[in-house]
Amino acid sequence: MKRSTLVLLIGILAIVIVAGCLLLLSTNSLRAASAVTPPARTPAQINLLTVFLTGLLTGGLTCLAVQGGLLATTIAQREEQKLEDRAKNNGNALPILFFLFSKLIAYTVLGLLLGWFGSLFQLSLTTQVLMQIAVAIFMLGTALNLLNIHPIFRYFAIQPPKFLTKVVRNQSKQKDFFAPVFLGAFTIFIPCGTTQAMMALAIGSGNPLLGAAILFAFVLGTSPIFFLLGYFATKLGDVLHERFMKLAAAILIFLALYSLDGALALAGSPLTFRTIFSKPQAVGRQEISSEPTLALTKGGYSPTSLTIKAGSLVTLHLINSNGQGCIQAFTIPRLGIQKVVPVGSSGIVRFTAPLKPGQVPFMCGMGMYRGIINVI
Amino acid sequence: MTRKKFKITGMHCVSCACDIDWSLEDVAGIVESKTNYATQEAEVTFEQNIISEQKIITIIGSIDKRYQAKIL
Repeated sequence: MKRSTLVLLIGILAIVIVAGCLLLLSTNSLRAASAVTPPARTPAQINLLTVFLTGLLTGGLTCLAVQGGLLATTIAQREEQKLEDRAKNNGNALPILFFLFSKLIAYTVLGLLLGWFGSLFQLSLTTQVLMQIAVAIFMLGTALNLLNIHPIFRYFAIQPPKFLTKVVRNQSKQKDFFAPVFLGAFTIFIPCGTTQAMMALAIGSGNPLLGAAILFAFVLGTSPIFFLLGYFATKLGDVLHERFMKLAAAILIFLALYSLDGALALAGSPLTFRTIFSKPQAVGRQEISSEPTLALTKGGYSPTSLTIKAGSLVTLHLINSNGQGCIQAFTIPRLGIQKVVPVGSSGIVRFTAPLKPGQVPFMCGMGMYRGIINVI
Repeated sequence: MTRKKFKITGMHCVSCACDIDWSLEDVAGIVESKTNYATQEAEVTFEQNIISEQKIITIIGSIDKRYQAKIL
């Protein structure tokens, strides 16, 4: 087998193995992390996988155009200095691998910064709602731009200032072998649509480790395709490119609506996507309690409905056995109550039930895991 | 030195704008190029006795067949 083919196969295998292991590891370390740091504001398990898949299926292609072009320039300049067959022996796999590893590290650090920046805006309900709406709008705008709906959506794509792009350009002119490494890191200044949406997600997570994990998962997802296509340096047909753009847009819209739905619930709106599309739950016969207990678990809150007497003084016991991420931020938007109960601990919320009978929703800090308090 | 604005359609992402600038600035006679993805406009500074607007339009089209440029 030719040496270059061997390097290529090793490269692909390495990326797939590293991807699998690190994704598992990062999910587990997130569980530990969210126990000691301020509650992460994203259901970690769901989003990381979606993020990785977005990168895998669409991110690699949408970014390949110029980031790949940059890489191709450095490779071409390497070959100018050698005889063609010597270049073929070593193959182009190594510079691409260097490029991708460097990009991975740079983006993970960026995710750390973005998540930390997001966490500065603390748990005020209003801020959280605004943040989620902003993230949803940005993702929707990016998706609509990917679908070429209207030129106005082009403004959702952030173009880095000229002086930054000049630096990236100068790096690509170097015939140095380490140029790909610098290039990989500098690509954070020329992110494409899907990458920017992921950056928005990282900010919205409000947790540096989660932000880092999100961008890490995304870049990891883009790597296999980037590597394969970069290696063969072939341009994919226009039709396939169109299909990938549509898939990226669809995933972004899904993430945007999910974020928006949570924002609506947190804002105390009785109308959210879930209430419109799901059948109202039948309220079973329930014991009225003035001291109910609510368990915070991995899958949400249990039970999902509580019954209390109108106008009464209620002492709610919250026990967190293994509730991760936003579940730790127990919220009753209508009553303006938010109590953070870290995993493995318990807490108490005291309030006076509203005088009017009705339903008062409770939910996690991002509006995603929900339940109902029946006031009778 | 002349500065002219061009309308460029067919850029599907921000990176395309950067790509156009880099390619143009490599051409003899072109001093600077500032392409904006959102407005779809490029401002090119060049020496008119070395390169013409028409030639610039041709070069842009050769970078990627989707790019179509015209003088504004």
